[in-house]
Amino acid sequence: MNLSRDERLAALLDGTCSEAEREELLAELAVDDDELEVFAAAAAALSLHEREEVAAGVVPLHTPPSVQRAVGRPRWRPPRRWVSLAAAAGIAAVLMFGILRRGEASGVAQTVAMLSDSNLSLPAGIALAREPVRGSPSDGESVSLGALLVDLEVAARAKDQAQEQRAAAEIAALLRRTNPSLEVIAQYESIGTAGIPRDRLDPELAERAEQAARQPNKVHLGEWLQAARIAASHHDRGFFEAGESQDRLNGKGMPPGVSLRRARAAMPAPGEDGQREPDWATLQHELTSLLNGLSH
Amino acid sequence: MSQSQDYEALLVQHLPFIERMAATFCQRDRLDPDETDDFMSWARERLIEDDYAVLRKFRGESLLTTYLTVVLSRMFRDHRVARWGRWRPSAEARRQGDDAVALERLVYRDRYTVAQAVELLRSRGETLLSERELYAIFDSLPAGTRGRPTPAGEGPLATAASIEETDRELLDSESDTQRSQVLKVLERVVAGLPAEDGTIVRMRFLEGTSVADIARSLNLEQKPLYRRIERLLLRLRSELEAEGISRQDFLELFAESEN
Repeated sequence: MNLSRDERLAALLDGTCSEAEREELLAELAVDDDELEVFAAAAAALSLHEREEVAAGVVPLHTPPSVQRAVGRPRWRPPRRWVSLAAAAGIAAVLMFGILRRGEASGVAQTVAMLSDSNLSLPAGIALAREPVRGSPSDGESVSLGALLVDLEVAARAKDQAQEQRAAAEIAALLRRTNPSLEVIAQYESIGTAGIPRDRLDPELAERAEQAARQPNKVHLGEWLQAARIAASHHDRGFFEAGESQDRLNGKGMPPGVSLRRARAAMPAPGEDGQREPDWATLQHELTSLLNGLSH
Repeated sequence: MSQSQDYEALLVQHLPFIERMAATFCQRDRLDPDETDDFMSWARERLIEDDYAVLRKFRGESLLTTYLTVVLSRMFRDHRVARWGRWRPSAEARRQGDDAVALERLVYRDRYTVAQAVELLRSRGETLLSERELYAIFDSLPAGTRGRPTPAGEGPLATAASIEETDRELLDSESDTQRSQVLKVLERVVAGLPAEDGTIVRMRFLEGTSVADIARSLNLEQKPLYRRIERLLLRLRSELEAEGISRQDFLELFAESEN
């Protein structure tokens, strides 16, 4: 069968080519700059797409049947990559407490989904040392709200009732200072005193809290920073390789004057000695300093 | 329904995916909205031409979406080379963000002087950074991979370069020579490696692909891949040092491959 160059590369990416074909293609990629560029760019784009799909709760398991009809090839072999992705996504879906309603997860759920499922918990001392801010909602409160929403989400997944109650009570207090008439406050207060009802966090709760904030970008920044602190504490390298983390570390989506340059410098670079581990302590320190600075 | 209509329907069905992936490629190289629109239109025409030849060629050996992604990746590369020559943003500029890519693009693709590029970015309100910060960014970008664009018509090329720019060109030229030496050694080392190792080295150090993405694209376990790359890097560095290329030179010349 005479496959196009593009389809051969696509088969390599999907893991559907034979061993002999794979060796042949790898040998080409090892010497051909143009093919390598096309392959690497496609791999990066697909990878980004997959992460976004998984974060949004979409599991693309197969090509729609219409494709097979149109091309006259009614066969489909599930590539190894997609099988493992489907399994991982399935586990993630279970862990997301049914958040996939309406095909979307809340911002905090998407952020927490970037954390490794293994050893997911709130490390000791992760709670922000915050002083109550009175008056109108500030940027700092939006950032704090994001961090607290992550605390609650992670605590709920880890079934850590003490942390659930602590985070929920702090969210309720923060929202009350912002707008005492918000209905969602009562639900957080209830969790703050009795824990999560029926062991299931209502996915709409976080969405409503996020919507209550006047600075949604700042809420999401707080969510990412707190999740990043947790990831640094657990040495979760995957979190920092995810698309949003790469963007943040590169300055994208960061407020003017706020830089993660020193945190980025704590990450390893390929030219450095021994593909070193990230400097987790520095990373955690920088992220904590930044979050503390932004949330006050 | 005729076959052409089948392919048309198939294309329409996948148009959202196609547009999303095309936008991803544009975003990766930080194209501006006009350039992005230009590529989108061009790519759509290529997908339709010759009675949907791209779709007709597909034999179902991969997912159609994966195939379309590779097709778009090649189209993007062809489009970029046709418009701007071999220039593309360095991985280091991508790593530093929009300001760095914009600066690099104005100087090396559009051939403005650094001073003009800095002024342009600030006067257009495309950056909040000060002149000093922009110059610092520019100085941090690797000289070696700054491609020399194919001029596309009249433009700022006619502007006389300052003395500082001339000095910079000289420095760049030295860097290019050094990099070329490194690349020769690299090619020889890669040639002696098994095909998979060679591809891994090139993806990591020439394309700046993350370890996670290499693992996904080659269906490899990610954790052992770190160790494997470490071993390959040690071998590479030792061969380069034997050729008189210091570790510092190696780091500077390949700074753009960092993620």
